[in-house]
Amino acid sequence: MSNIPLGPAELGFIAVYLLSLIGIGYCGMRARTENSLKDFYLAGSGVGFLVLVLTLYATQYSGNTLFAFTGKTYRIGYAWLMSVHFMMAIIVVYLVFAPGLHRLAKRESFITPADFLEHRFSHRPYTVLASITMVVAIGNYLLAQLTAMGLLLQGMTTFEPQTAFVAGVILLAVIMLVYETLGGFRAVAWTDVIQGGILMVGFAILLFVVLDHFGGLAKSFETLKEAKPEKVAAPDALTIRRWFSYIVVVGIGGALYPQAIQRIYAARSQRVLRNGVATMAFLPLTASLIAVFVGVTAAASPELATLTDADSDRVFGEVCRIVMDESPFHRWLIVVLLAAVLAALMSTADSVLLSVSSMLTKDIYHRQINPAASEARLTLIGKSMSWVVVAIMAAIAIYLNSLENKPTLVKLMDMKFDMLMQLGPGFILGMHWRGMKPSAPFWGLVSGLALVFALYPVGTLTNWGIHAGVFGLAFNLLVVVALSKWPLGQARSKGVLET
Amino acid sequence: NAYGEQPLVLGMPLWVAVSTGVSFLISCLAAWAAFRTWPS
Repeated sequence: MSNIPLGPAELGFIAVYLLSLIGIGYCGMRARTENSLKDFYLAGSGVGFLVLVLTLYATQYSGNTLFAFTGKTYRIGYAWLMSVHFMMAIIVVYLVFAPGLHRLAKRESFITPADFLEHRFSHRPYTVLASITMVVAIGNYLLAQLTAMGLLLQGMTTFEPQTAFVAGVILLAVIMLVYETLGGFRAVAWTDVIQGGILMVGFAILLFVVLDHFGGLAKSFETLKEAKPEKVAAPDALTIRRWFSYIVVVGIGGALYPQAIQRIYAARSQRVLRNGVATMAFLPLTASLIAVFVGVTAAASPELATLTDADSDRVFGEVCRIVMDESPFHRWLIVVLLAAVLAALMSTADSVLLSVSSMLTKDIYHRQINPAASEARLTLIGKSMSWVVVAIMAAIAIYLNSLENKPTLVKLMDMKFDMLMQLGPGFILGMHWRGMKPSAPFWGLVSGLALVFALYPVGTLTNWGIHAGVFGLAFNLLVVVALSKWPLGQARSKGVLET
Repeated sequence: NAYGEQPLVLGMPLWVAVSTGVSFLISCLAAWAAFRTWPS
């Protein structure tokens, strides 16, 4: 993150915004109807249309969209238009399994994603392995958000960098924990309404200030055509393969985000969920597409010509730093934009944290360790789990940032989708195929994950432009179909599917 | 009961403009499909 030190009034604006989140957490606590896991993790009877859309939006578009997407476009040019398509692919996959999942969730009172798998397959090893896979996959996502929070605060103040980073991580994590502990999912969803709204305004401001300061898209095209023609040319064969691979990996993996599945559970009715998904279909055009336009414009700007590809994740910060010097009006626009970045980071982190906490509490503690625990005790365990998880993740983030050679989190981010998509056969195929045997998705998941991790060090196939997760999923599906069609062995799983 | 000089369209190369247009059509299709086939 670039240095964009803010004055007292501007930091005051950010502080008021952060304190308002705690106020919303308190309101969420007052709205509580019972001291149960369902009330804490899914807001009891569920949320309405506006809250559902904004909480899905704020959760799916993280700080990654602003930092990494603009940076990636700066590096590879218009080819990152694939990000619009892969974010849309998530919605297409929702159309296939969300209606049936919502129906079952309401009927059977599901709380965690693994509740569906337990109900569908009654195969405890699969339920536990799936839950662990999800916790590990989104655990590093939480780590990435906490790291970005520290870097953002580091850039906004004039303190010594490492001190500012530590203070930023701890301050924002504590604020997040307070409102989440107070109000649970209700507080997270309500703060997402504020954060999603600010994020939408932020994207609009970003497009305005970039086109206003750096010139329009046509000007950028003419500049790039002369200086860096590969950034506006049609992609080569390798990029085309990568484009297709991303659509499959993010389309399936992104739809299986545990925090997104819990939002499917939390929709008040099928009508609310249907309207929410239909609206979400248009939102990549208001987020990913803007990030692409900003990245392309930045790549054409002589003011950013000194930025190397390795530093490209700083593009967003550099754009802010350049624009805010124009006038007091532009300065305040950037302050609102920084609040939007904060909103993007915190809204994703709090949703991931709540999801991790629910899975550790319900799937591991309640299901495996203490099945007799009361609802009140489980809720207390869940709240405590959030604090423990954040303490561990914040410590790791601070430690990694103190190292001379900071490890890149990009690889971990790709691993997240490669792992999550291996749950596709259980969730998506399991929703529609009655003939799938109970142990088949377990062995499919084991095979898929084994192949994914075996391919990482090899690199030959993945260097061809196809993610390891795609090969893993193909092998996974092969195992699932072979075991389910095999004539000997266990009975088929119970027919508790969508009807 | 689912390939030279690039003419500019809206400031973008033709392939970008068409691909973005198709994105919008997919959004419309997804929304239509949700309303058409979602159970009540």
